[in-house]
Amino acid sequence: MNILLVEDDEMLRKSLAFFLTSKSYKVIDFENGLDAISCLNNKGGEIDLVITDLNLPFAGGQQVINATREILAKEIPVIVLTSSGVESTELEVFDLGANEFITKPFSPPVLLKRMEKLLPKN
Amino acid sequence: MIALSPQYQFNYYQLETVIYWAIIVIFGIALFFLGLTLSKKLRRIKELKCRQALQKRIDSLLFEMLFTDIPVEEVVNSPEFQKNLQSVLFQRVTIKAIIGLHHNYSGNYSKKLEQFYAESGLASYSLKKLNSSQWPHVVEGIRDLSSLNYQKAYPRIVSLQNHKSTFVQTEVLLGMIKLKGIAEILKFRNKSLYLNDWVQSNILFSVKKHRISAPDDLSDLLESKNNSIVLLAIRLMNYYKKAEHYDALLVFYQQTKNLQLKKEIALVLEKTEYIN
Repeated sequence: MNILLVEDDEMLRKSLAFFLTSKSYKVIDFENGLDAISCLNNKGGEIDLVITDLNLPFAGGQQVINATREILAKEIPVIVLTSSGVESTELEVFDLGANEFITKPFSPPVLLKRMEKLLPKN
Repeated sequence: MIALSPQYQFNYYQLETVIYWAIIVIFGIALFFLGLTLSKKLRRIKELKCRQALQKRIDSLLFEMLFTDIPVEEVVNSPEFQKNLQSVLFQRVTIKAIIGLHHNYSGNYSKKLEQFYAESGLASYSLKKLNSSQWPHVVEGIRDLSSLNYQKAYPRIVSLQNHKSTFVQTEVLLGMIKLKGIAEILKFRNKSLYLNDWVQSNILFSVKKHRISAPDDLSDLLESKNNSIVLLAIRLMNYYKKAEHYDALLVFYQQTKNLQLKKEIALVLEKTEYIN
């Protein structure tokens, strides 16, 4: 399973990539939305799930979600990482087109459970 | 060619020599500074490379400890870690990395990081910073200790609340809130310490991050003579969205003559049925 991870917090991005790789996922990570969208354009067909932050440099999380929905022919699940903790913001995430959200700080196994729920079982 | 008189010829040659020497001196100085800049650049590149290599080692050490079943004690007692711990750069980079991870992960993961910080001796390194005569070091020490929830540092941090630097004083307040909760702000009710927007946003971030519940007597902060404390209280009440706070805010709105505070309260109450 290939995961596209878009997160500008370097420590979170690197550690999450390490964690997901240790769980046998292949992680393609970017620190900004623009590079992630470019990756979706080039390798979109290989991506199985997108994990993105909302506030990103150059192109935000919303643009990454829009690109996922517009560029890719198949429906790819999107999980948004938010740092809000406010109910209204969390609900807005679904309006943006995401399938799930996770509020920072979080426990990686919780993210894993949500991913497993969204990914097709082999 | 124009023939010069001997007197002028002498001056001309003298001038020529001075110009030659001036060019040599200027060229020499330029060369010296070029060399200096180059050596500084090379040193920085070397330092950066060294730091990047160190960062890689630290990341790998922390990620393995965090996401595999390796116990904290095993990492702390490993000869390689003990050897690296002697380096100040290693201590600084590791603390920064732990804070970065602690900021994003919760539950057992953040607890494991706190345990590592306490048991590895890195907390002692931060505690030493509190004795520094330079305020940036003291601020850094308070920030490290409170961000990583090192409860033992609380009395030492509190003892710095009357520090001559206001930066240290505000960091003490932030540290106290991070370690013991938002009720600590009540201890600053009668202080003249000015809490700027940056400090206030940090306090609100801590409250959100740790999902700290509202203290019972938050409304008491509205009685403070310090307007920045009152402003923080209004912002906290906006975050907590409790009916009893709105009652207190409405009373305060009618009593206060401060236009900035009135405006802030109006923004909060507009979202409710209290004022239209």
